[in-house]
Parts: sequence; structure tokens; C-alpha cells
Amino acid sequence: MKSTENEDYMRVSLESVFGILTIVFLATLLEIAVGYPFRVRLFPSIVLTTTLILVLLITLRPVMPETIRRYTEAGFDILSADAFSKGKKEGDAKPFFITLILLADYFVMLYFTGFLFSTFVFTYIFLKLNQYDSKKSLAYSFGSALIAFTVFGLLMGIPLPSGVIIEWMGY
Amino acid sequence: MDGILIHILADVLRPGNIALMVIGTIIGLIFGILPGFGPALAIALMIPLTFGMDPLSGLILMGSTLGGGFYGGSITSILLNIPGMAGNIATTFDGHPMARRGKAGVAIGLSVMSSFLGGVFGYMVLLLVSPLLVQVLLLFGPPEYFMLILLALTLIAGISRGSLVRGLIAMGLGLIVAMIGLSPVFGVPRFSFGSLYLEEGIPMIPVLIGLFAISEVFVLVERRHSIAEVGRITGSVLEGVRLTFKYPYTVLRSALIGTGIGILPGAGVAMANFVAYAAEHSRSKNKEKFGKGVPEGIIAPETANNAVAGGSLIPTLSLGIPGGEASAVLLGGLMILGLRPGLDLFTEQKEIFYAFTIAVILSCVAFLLITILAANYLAKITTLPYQIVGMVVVLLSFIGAFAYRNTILDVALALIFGVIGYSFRKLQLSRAAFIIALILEEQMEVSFHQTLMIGGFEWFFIRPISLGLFLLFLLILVIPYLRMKFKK
Repeated sequence: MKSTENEDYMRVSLESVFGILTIVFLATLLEIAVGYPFRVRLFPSIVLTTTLILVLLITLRPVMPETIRRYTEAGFDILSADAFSKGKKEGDAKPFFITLILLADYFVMLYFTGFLFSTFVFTYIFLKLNQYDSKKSLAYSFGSALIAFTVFGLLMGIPLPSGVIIEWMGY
Repeated sequence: MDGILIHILADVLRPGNIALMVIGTIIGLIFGILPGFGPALAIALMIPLTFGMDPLSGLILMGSTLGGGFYGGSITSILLNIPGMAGNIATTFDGHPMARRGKAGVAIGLSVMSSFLGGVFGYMVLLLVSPLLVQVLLLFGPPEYFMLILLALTLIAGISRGSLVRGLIAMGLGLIVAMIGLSPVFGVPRFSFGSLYLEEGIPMIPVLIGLFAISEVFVLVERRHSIAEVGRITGSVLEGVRLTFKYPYTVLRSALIGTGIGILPGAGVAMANFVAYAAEHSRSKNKEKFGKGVPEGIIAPETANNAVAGGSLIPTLSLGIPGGEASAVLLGGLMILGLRPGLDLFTEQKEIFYAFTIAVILSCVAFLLITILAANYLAKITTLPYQIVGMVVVLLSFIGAFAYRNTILDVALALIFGVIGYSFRKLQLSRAAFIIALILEEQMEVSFHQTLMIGGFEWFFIRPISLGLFLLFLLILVIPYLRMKFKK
């Protein structure tokens, strides 16, 4: 019960943050669109205005009249909301943020050091942070980086990031 | 006609051509499974290989690659909740929940059999009644296309897990993101903030990878559990194959929907699986079970998605208007092999046309057999440790996003849309509505302006098909309100 309340609170908070950010984003684009010639701005303005109204309806739902409030939550009920049954830990934001930071680091490393090295480092840290066995993590990270490089880069000839440092070194 | 068909069939069934068919199907399946790769890239890589072949062998290689590629995305939709292409999105609704219940083999069996039946139906229609269907296609002008896309997007928004309003917000955001870049009608840069990268527009593949693949990694690490929530896999692929035959009307209805929508250039591939899913839901006596892993929820979108492949080739081959990215690449390859798109395809160039159609029909047999043999092994992916699955998905996602245009910025874009996709899931905003809107925006806007330029605003409402589609759109908007009133 407590967990459900916590999740509802998280969803409402996330919804408010999403609502405010989206309203600012849409209003900015609408302001930019006004500066375009009439025909260029016509279609974007229709879509932006409609979406802005709908986001306002969702964000200001708590202060809306009952009928509008209920309509914003009405649907066809084709897919039941509980179809993605929740796991024990769902609702905890920590794993999301840790993974996000890790993925962002992987991206930066990919840019500087290229595919092979950054993939090895990322996969090892990813597996370790998710409590995977140390020796297996090392073996899998080494193996996956090498296999991916061989299959995609060498056999299939698909370009992989070479890394600016590697390029600078002349390789 | 019969004599030509038998002669071509005998040529197609030569051992060398069968080997090419198997190779093409396997390559197509692999590219369909890899996020961001898809059949378009697979066919593009096959084209240079066909230069040294006789035209028939080239057609077989490309046709089977297309067939395998169209099906490959269904496997990841079921096992990983990651649709390979927009056409596989509705398969995730029931396919993945079934896999999470430990029945991945059954889900793959259902999907491969219905894909086979849908594919064969679509290609048979292509072979037998293409000239007639082209006449139907010609009834659709710009206002009809605009209204059809509007209706389809609203329907997809309605199928989403949250409310209709939330679905419409996701659709609106998808349309807005698609507007970034050069205006498709006037060539003026919009919302690009002076960035050359944004001026080229937001590419679909990195967005698809981010929304579905990377966001799934976030969910996996949050849940800390293998995909299958039960410890072991129950049911086999053959059980799924047999189960498909218990729903003959679902297969037939969805095949008709897929082929019918497929003939509309551009829009069909993305729409058909949703329309078939919604149609099946509306007729079902077990509505409350949809989204939890019902067989009809897999059969309907899978049949339609593969029937659409045949349908989408009708405008591609007969009018030279590709039905999607894969069709566009395929058309290029076929033209290199001597095919000239046009209505004389069914008369003067019928040998090439028949050879290609027979090749894609036989490729359906190839992917059916290959998948049945491999499915039980593939199903074991759902019991692998979540760390390994997450790691592999990230690797393939980053490789796929980079390989699309060889720019690291596309990887950053995929990452950004990974966060957006995760937030969408938390807020019950439809990722499907977002991505389909992103794909169809250009055609929608072009049709909108063409209508205004040719016939004016009233053209939307004085043409009967366009008006009918508009009334259906209004009906979808008021249904939730009526349901709410009725429940009271």
C-alpha cells in the first residue's frame, strides 16, 4: 500500500515536471513559429497550439472542473494499465540515474577513445554495478567488445566510432 | 500465364537459388533483429552482391532479404519489448507480456505462423490482383491522405495504455519533433536553432532505438529480473504454430486489413498493425485480457504487418512510389536488375514481376522453417540474467544508432530519446503514437498543403472519402466521452 502511494506521488511529481517543461518548450516553439511566413507556420502552429492545450489540460487537471478532469483520463481501455506488471524494485529512481550517468560516460568515452576500449570499460562497469560476478564480468566485457568489433566492424564492414584520440594519434 | 509461372517456379527452385533464398532470409532476419538496422540496410548491403548474378538470382536474394527483414523485428518485439520497425510496435502489446509469463516459444510460434500466412496472403494479392488495386489507390488524393493519417494517428493514440488525451499529447509531440528541420513543402529551416544537424531533421532510427531499446534497459535495471518473470519457459513454438489455426477469422481479417492499408504509399506499413489490433479488440469477447498476452493480440498485428509487405509493393512496383524506406531501397535494387516501375509491369515485364513475387512468397516458407528451428533457442533469451541482456541491448543500440549515418550525434540523440521513452512509460504516454507521428508527419503536412493549394480548405469536406474519414476521426474523439457517460 505504502509502495503504491509512493509510486503515485512519484508519478504526480514527474507529471508536473513534465507538464511545466513541455509547456515552456511548446510556448518557445510557438513564439518562434510566429516569426515564419504564414504558409510555413500554418501547420506547425495548429499542431503546437492543440498540443499545448492538451498538455495544459493534463497539467492543470487538479484545478479543472470534474467533467473535464474525468475526460482527460478517459480512453478506450484497449490495453490494461497493469499489463507491464511491476517488479519489486520498480519505482526506485536510483538505478535509472546510475544507468543514465553510465550511458552518458560511455557516449563520451566512445567519442574520445573509440569503440573497442570504451565498450570494454562500459560493459565491465555496467555488469559490476548490477552485481554481476567479477570474473565473469571481466570475461564478458572483453568478449563482447571483441566479438562486436569483429562481427560489425571487420566482417560486416559497418563503421564504428574510431575516437578522436585514436584518430589524433594517427591510427 | 500458367506456363510462365511454372517455368519461373522451376528456375526459382534450382539448388543455387534455394541457397540464396536461405542466405537472404537469414541475413534479413539478423538485420531485422538488430535494433536500428532493419530490412532497408540489409537490402542496401545485398545490392552490390547482385551485380555479378543473373537477374533471377538477384531478385531472389533481395526478395528473401526483404521477407526475413520484415519478420526479424517481431522476434525482438516479443522477447525484448523492442520493435525492430514501426510495423512491429503493436506486437509488443501482447507478445512481450506472453514472453514475460514464460511463454516466449508460444508467442514466437504464433507470430511466425501468422506472419507466414499474412505474408503469403499479401504477396498472392500482389501477384493476382495488383492491377485492380491500383485503381483503388488512384481514388486517394491529398485530402484523403491527410484525413487517413489523422484518423490512423488518433486511433493509435486511442490504443495507448493511458487516456486518449495522453495518447494525443504523445502524437502531437511526435509531429512537433518531426517538424524540426527543413519544411518539406517550402524548404525553409524550422526550429533548428541554427544547428546544421537539426536542419537535416530528426532521424527516425536513433529515435526508435532510444524510445524502445534504451528505455527498456532502464526498465531492466530497475526491475532487476530476467525478462521472463517465471523461472522456466513453458510451451513450445509448435504449440504457438498450432494455436494460430484456431483463429482463422482473425488471420483473414488482419490479412485483408494489412493488404488494404498496405497499398497506400508511405502510411501503410506503420498503420496496419495498429488497425488490425484495434479491429480484433473491438470484436473480442475477452477485451479485458488484451495487453496481458492473448493469442489474438499477437496474431492480428503480425498477420497485418506481413500482409502489408505485399500490399506496399503494389504502389512501389506499379507506380514507382515506395511504401516505405525498405521499399525505396528495394526499388533501387530492382531497377538495377532491369525492372521499370509502371503499369506495364503486369504485361511487358511480367517475367521479372512473377520471379520476384514467387521469390518473396518462398522466402516466407524459408523464414517459417528457420524460425521454427531456432525459436526454442531464441526463447531462452528471456531467462538470461538481466545484466547480460541489458549490456547486449546497449551495445547493439549504440552500434545501430551510429551506423545509421556514421555520426556520434545520432548516438547522443538515441540516448536523449531513451530518457524520453522511459519518462513516457512512467507517465503512460504512448511511445507508439509518438514514433508513428514522427514517421508520418512529412506526408501529413505535404498532403495538408497540397489540399490547400489545389482545392482550398473546403476540399477536405466535399470529397466523400475524405469527409467519411473525418467523421470517423470525430467519432474516435467522442467515444471516450460517451463511454464515460454510459458508465455513469
